[in-house]
Amino acid sequence: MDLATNLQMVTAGLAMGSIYALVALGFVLIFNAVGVVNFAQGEFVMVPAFVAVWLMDVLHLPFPLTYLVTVIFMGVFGIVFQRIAYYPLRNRTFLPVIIATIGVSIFLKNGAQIVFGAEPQLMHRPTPPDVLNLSGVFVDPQYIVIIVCTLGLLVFQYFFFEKTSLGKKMQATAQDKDMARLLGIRVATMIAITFAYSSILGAAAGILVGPIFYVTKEMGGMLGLKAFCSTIVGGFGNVQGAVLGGIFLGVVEVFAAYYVSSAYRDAFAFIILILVLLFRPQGFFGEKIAEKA
Amino acid sequence: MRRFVCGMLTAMVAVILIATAPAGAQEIRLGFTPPITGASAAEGALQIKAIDLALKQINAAGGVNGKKINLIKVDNQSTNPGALTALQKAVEQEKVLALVGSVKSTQILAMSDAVKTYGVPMMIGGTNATLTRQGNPWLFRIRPDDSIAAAAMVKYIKEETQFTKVGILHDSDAFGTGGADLVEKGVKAVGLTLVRRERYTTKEKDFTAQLLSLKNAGAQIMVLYGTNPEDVAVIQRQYRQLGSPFKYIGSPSSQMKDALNLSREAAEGIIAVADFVPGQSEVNRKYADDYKKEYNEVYDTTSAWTYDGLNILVAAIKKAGEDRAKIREAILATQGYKGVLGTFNFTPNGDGLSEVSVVQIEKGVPKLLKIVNVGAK
Repeated sequence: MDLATNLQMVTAGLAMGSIYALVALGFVLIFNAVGVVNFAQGEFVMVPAFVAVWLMDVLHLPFPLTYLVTVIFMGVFGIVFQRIAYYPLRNRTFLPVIIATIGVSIFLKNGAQIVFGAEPQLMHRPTPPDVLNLSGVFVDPQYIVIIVCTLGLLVFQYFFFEKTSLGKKMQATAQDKDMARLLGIRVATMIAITFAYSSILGAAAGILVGPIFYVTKEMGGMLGLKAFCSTIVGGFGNVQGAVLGGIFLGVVEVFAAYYVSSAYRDAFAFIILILVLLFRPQGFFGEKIAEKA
Repeated sequence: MRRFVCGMLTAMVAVILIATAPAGAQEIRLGFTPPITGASAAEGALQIKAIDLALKQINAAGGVNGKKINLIKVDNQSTNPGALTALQKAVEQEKVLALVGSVKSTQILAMSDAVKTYGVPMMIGGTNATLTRQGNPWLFRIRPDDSIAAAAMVKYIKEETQFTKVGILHDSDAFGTGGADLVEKGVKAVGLTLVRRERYTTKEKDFTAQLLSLKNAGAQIMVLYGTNPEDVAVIQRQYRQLGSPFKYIGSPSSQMKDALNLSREAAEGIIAVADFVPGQSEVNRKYADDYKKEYNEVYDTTSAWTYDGLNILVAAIKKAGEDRAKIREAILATQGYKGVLGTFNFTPNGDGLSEVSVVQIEKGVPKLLKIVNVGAK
């Protein structure tokens, strides 16, 4: 097999993997903060994509302003989401909250159809539409933007959580709410910020994939599932695991589709999920969930 | 007091009965099961526009023997179970006489047994060739079936191009697989070489692997049998981004408005099979004008079958009266009917059309290259 084909697939895989990683991170941060899987995480990608298309097509905002407004919108959206789907149920078991997130997910999908229509929308791209021809390797510039932006976000996140006081407070909240409260950390605020941040990660994913995927109300569904797989493959609740799990899945999928069977492309993610659950239930990087539970 | 309540109730029931009874007698209830919600909602909206135009014209012209047509739309939710439920609801609850069904072959397969049991005529847009050949006498196809589209693509490659190495890419659902099977058979029958066959699942977002695989297998031309216009749009863009490594000829979804709106300049020069080309006949031009007047936009070619479907169905009811078996005979007796999609000559199987057009996308619009008739079967 020639090198150009493989390089091309690596790029495509890394780009898809980066998006899985961003959505997976959203899952993990919320899970760590409140112990609940947020099934509306896929819609955290769909909503900002629609908002961005609307800002560009209807209000004719330039790219940077569109992105800024979308990110701010999603920050607020995350806090509102938290108020509606989590806060009223915070003293109950995890189950009502999970059902609430599923409810919000259905509401958002159908709401998007009513507000934005059923037709898929085209999101304009900040990069030129032509591909880069790097001596026989054709690369969509948007793929490179996706990879670079994801890397940038990860670096930012590392410094945010490890070096700032706010980040450390959020970590403390995730580790032990009661202890954090005793130390004078405003737990409710930290949780709200976590939701906002997770939602902003969704905004980044939505803005980045919009020009490639086209924007539809269903765009978050499979993305959410694959990202969920990524978190489990990487080790549930583990931040590095979610990122590496996402990138791993993205790359494996492309290669499996090429070398094994393109018909079962989507199945590979779930086959890997099952294998991981069978042979290494804690994931590649995780602590042993089985023992904890 | 109790007597008063009883009296009121009786009066209300009486009013309701009086109000509904005559209305029921003066209208003909027909059903339509489009996707209003779910993955195909975008296509559903266009189908509804087309059929509503036919309905408006039929009723404005006096309906059927003085009776208005009441078209009841039941959402099939873009799923197979949804389609079956919609059919059951239309027939059992809404008491429709006949109906216009779905454009998706998988959904028609899901509905087929129930249609046969009910013995209710259903106009279909699904193009999987086997649909009308499974001993179900109640299905009537308003679009050229896949064997025609597939045969026309093969005929076009063989007769109009120099290419001998063909690659196939298709959706793994019933529509794509059925179409690709026919292409594969046809390619081998006329002596072309099939170098590789690749597939994808609906809603996939990255087709790099499949396209590269076709390229590396040495395909000179790719036959794309896609189902969802969104998927096709993504394929067209990525095909262009890989440097258009081979020629591209696609099934009707490759020239659908929904696909072209999304892929824009990436679709330039792509060849596709279309049921028909806008403006090819007088009926067609009139439809274009009427549609433009009604909705102030250009009509979608893949949804126009609902317009012809309702018109042919109503014409048959006019001839046969409100009897399902007679309506069936009247539809099969429809010969030389000039519709938007072409001239309908129904076969005993229930297939209405046997010709398709091969088009090329120029400045975002399908332009006719050649009308290919593969003959009645």
